[in-house]
Amino acid sequence: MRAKPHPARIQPISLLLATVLVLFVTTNASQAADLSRDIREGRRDDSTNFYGVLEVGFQTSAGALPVVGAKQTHVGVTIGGHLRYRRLFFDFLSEGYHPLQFGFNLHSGPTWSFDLIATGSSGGVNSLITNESDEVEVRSAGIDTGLRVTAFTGPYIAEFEALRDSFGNHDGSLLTGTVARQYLWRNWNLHWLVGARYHSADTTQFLFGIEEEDATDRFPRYTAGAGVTYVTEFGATKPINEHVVFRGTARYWSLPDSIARSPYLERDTYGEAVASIVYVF
Amino acid sequence: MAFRFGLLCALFLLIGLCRLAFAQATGSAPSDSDSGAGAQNTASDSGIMIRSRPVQCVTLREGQPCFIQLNVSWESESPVSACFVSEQNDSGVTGACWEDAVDGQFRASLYLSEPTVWVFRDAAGNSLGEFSVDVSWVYKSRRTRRRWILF
Repeated sequence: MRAKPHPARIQPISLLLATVLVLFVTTNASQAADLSRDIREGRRDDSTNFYGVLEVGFQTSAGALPVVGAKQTHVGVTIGGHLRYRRLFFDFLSEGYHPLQFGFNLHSGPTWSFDLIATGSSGGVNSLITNESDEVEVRSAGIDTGLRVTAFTGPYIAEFEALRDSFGNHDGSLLTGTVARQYLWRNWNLHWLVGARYHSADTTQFLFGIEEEDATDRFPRYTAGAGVTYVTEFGATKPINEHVVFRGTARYWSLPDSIARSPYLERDTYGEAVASIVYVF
Repeated sequence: MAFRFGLLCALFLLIGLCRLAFAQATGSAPSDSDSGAGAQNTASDSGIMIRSRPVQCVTLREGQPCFIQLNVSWESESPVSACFVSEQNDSGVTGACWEDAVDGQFRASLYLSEPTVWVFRDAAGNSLGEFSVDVSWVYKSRRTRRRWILF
């Protein structure tokens, strides 16, 4: 098993982001969070300079991962939270589109929110999710940076993200568009979400492609092209008491041919169910 | 092994959820409320004992209406004619009026937007007793600020 080289060179956009963060960190307070968190818990309070929640709990998930030899269930401890200081925020939500986010809010109004964000990017098919690790090349997780625009109108939230690899892994791009709606039934907070994610060819090749030198009999050479992934999600969140929250999520992915035809994958669809109980500090 | 353990945990979670949902539907939650807990017993100077549950209702977000299934019973040493009336909006609860009774009980499904006190009031408007339900939340809601970075 060989690790793919990933020079940790700093991209211009990273420098720009860092500069903006440093320059404006002391300006007025605002807030933002991932859509997956907003649709469950509502937008964060920005009436103070500091806001933070920490969540610790247990989580179990079952899914028909389309990856060859993938584990189908996971049980473990889940840690998450949201921390904001003035315009800077850090968000960690395992059920989120981007489980790990760091960002800076440019504008936060009643309807629109604009954020510069840096997210942990996927490492793709690797030894964490497949038992075929001896034959699967390890992909390094990286950092994507870019802009996020979110619109809030009544029970609806729409979000658009334009992200680019800034870790030097592949220089690929990721564009996402998502619409979500929330409902309240008794004290159950229900939501649905539909979204599309465009992955550039660089991204899909890094995650699902197989270079000539890495090809084996089982995993032959494959060149992945650009494609759009569609996701549908239904979720439920319920407070058990002032500090304990139940979260349930069912998610279904439809993968483009450019990804699904990768020798690493077995199908072009992917479903998973996640349930967690977390204590909110 | 891990697969079975995962399934077992998922099963336990499912059973817990089903119990929760069933308790909501029947109003027989062991925690005495939809999202709160506990019961309160209050005795008034007029000799009326009021038992109510829940004492607290919890929403996910601040400002959301909070759903409760209210269970109230009362006993008096002498017959009374009275109704439970919300102190916040002066409205009664359906089925919560009695005439010349020494005890009674009622159940109601309500959405509360704020902590609420119900007063057991007779025809003359005198308070014979009261009980309350507190409303709290897990996540604080957003206060809007319309601000751009440069302003």
